[in-house]
Amino acid sequence: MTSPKNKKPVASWLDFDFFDNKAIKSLTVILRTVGCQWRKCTMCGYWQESADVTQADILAQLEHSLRNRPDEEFILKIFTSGSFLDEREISSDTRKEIAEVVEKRKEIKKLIVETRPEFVSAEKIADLKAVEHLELAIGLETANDFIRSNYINKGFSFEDYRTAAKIAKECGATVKTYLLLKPPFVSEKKAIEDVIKSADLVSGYSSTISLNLCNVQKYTRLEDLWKRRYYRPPWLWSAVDAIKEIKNKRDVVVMSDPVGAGHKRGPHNCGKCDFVVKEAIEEFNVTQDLSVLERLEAIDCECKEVWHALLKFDDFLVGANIS
Amino acid sequence: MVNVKIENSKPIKTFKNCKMTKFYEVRRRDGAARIGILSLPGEKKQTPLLFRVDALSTGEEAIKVVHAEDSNFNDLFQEDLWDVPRGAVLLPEVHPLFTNVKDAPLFVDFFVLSIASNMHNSPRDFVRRIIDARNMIPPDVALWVPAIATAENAALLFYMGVDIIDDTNAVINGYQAIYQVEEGEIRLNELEELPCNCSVCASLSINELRGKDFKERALLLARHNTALLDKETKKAKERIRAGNLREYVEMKVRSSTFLTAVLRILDLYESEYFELRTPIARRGCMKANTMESLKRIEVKRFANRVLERYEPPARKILLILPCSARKPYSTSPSHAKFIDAIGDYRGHIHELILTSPLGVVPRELEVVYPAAFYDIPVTGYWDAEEREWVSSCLHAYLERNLRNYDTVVAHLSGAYKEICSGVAEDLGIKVVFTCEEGVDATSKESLERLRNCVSELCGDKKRLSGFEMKASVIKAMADFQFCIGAGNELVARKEGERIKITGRYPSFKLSLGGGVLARIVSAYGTLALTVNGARRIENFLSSYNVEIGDFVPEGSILAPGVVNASEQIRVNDEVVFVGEKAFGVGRAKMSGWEMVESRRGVAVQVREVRPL
Repeated sequence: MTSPKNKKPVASWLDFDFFDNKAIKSLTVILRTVGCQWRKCTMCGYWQESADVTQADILAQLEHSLRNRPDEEFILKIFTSGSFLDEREISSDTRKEIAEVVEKRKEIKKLIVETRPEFVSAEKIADLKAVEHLELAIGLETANDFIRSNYINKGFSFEDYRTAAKIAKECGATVKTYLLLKPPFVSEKKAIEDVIKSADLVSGYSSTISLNLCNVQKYTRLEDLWKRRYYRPPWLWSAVDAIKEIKNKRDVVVMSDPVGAGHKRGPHNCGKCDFVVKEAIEEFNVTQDLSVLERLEAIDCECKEVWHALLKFDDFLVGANIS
Repeated sequence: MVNVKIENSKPIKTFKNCKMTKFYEVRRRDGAARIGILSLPGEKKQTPLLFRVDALSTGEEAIKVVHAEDSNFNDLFQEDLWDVPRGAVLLPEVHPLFTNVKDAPLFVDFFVLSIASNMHNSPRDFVRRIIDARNMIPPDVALWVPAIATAENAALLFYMGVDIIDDTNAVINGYQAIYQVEEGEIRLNELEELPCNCSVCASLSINELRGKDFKERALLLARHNTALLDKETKKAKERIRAGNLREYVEMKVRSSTFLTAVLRILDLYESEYFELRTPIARRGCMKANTMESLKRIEVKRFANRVLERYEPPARKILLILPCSARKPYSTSPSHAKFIDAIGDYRGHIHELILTSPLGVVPRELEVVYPAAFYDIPVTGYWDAEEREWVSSCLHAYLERNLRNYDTVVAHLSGAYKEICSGVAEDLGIKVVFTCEEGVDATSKESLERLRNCVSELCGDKKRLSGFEMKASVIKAMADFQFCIGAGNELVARKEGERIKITGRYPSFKLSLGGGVLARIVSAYGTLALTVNGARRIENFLSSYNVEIGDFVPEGSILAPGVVNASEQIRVNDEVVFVGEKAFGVGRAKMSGWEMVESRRGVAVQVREVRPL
């Protein structure tokens, strides 16, 4: 028997995204599925939202969420806290039905789904051929295989990602690449460097680069580390720095949803300037206008100097989080 | 692993993964704390060392730090390219690359503790990280704990065995408008004046400091914070030299509940770590001013050895006496009176001194370390923990040695008397008390009662002959230092021998036919042997043996020359060394296990050597 809660999504909300050189409304739906089958990433606790749901439940969840759809044009994001292209989570038939729903609603300009690269194949994308603009979002986290395998435990390689991205492109889908700012055991400075370098390596495959500012989720390996002060989430200044650097040089859309910004479990500065910086990042997301971030230069919060000093001394902190 | 084999193919020296040092050498020790020399290009720097993070980040300080994830990590596996002091990042157990470092054969001068912020998580983590690190790396390599040192915690870090710190936290605090003081930190806006005389604080007022622009203020604060940390480092270094860092740490941790908890956890759970590193004797006085003093290794070790390495002389009456401020006790006015009262009968009487924090001190051991080298605040009030500890020492002593005596007399008053009668009751033994309630042990009345009591009990007078008295001290000290049996072998006259003990108490000299066998070194409270003395008791010195290589040592024996060494050996222990070419005696400058695991540093200071 399936429980009533399985008929409702984990969450769904409306906000804004950037499409066709302008801001656009966006409906995000987090579907409850059997969950990600990998479940071993250091920082991820999303699979804990999984349940024993049926394919019918999944369609009911989507229906439920679409009641809140905007009247005007919007982007639909269907996330499963796992892989939309994993047969165990979403069956081929369900995918086809979802594609039909999207096709029927002409105001949906783009469908974004998330998947691990090993599930990306021409057949699976073919299930969604009715969707006019399909985007596959892949959580690569970093182009650095060493960091990804040792510190994130992602279980796939950069090569796996590239293969998936090429298939997507051949099948007419675009790719959104998630990069993780500051995995565990990576220092603040190296984290910024890594995300910039990674952006270089993925920009050729991606129409959008989304910077995930690492936050500490409950019941994860990362939470254990964080509780024992082995980890500090990234500074928001680091996020601003990385976004500017990436956007400056490349013709990609750069996004960053500052989840948990200003909280100790999320990306944060000193507590005084967090809100202003978070707002600026959110404004940048829907304008892609770098001057929004450049305006932050005028904020002379003292913590920026602390952050600068920490970067300057990064090599000799040897991983210590002292502020 | 390197197994050096000698001709008889006995496998001996093994290095923990043969990690070793080239530019670092430990010169002095005080417990786990050390003074060492780090040879930087063109300059030798002493540890405990404070690195300046500015100098580090500009590359001014020519050192190399290598992480397991760096491509040149494997360079550390060999001695080539080792042209400046270099170190490896020591990873915590939670790090995915932990074993890459732990199990690697590294040639480094120092290790750097990574993610040291974890130490702030709890006093237990603070303890765990350092003790685990020290246990994982060889003793002759330096340990650097980066980014977390403060003027408040630096002495404790050094006490635990950290050799290098830096001023990162002091500098960052400058940007955070945090003003460091010896006992913590204060936000600049909470201060009314600058409570310091460093060059920064002496040059301007707090209002002038507050009036500076942000950057300048940050730098000035950083300079003050660093100067304070520098001063603290120097102070701790002096304490290590003087051999009283422990007293300083007991004082320093008082400002912080966190650091006090760290010290208590160290005392409770890490006594093995400190036992392996605590010297057997020191020149200086041990001040027992805090409740933590009771838990010191020196105290526990003394109490254990009184039970395990001491045999009371065969005398039928046990006389328990209170301690005195002056040491050795018998040189104090009060003990002079006690001795005078029993003088004619002293040959029948064994004297035992009841004291805090050492418990019980047999008269014959009153000159050893720390019996003649401690001081406590005297108020007449004994707290419950002190009473319990001293009671347990007396209880254990009596339980073990009661058979030796016919009668127990206690010339004690106040808390001493209460402790003694409590123990007597527990053990169900009868004790004759010679002080009336509320009457001082040194009063005429009490002394008279003591005199009468012993004369009644003893009947015939029996003074202690000079030789008997002196021999009992040397015998007890030899047993205490080496093992039971050594003392008798040393002082007992054999057929036709003319053994003499000369010198003024306590600096006795034992000689045989004109040649010295042993002498009491009263400055350390130890018994020093000559080669002849060591030969005489060779069979009893197996726990104090240093096996050396194929050479005749001159001056000092260095760690590489040591083939094997007894585990029991501690700093300042008397040891014998034996090799194919030489036999001799000397004083240990490092622990036995350290001699085996080290490749640098002085192991034994040679006193006398005889080529074979």
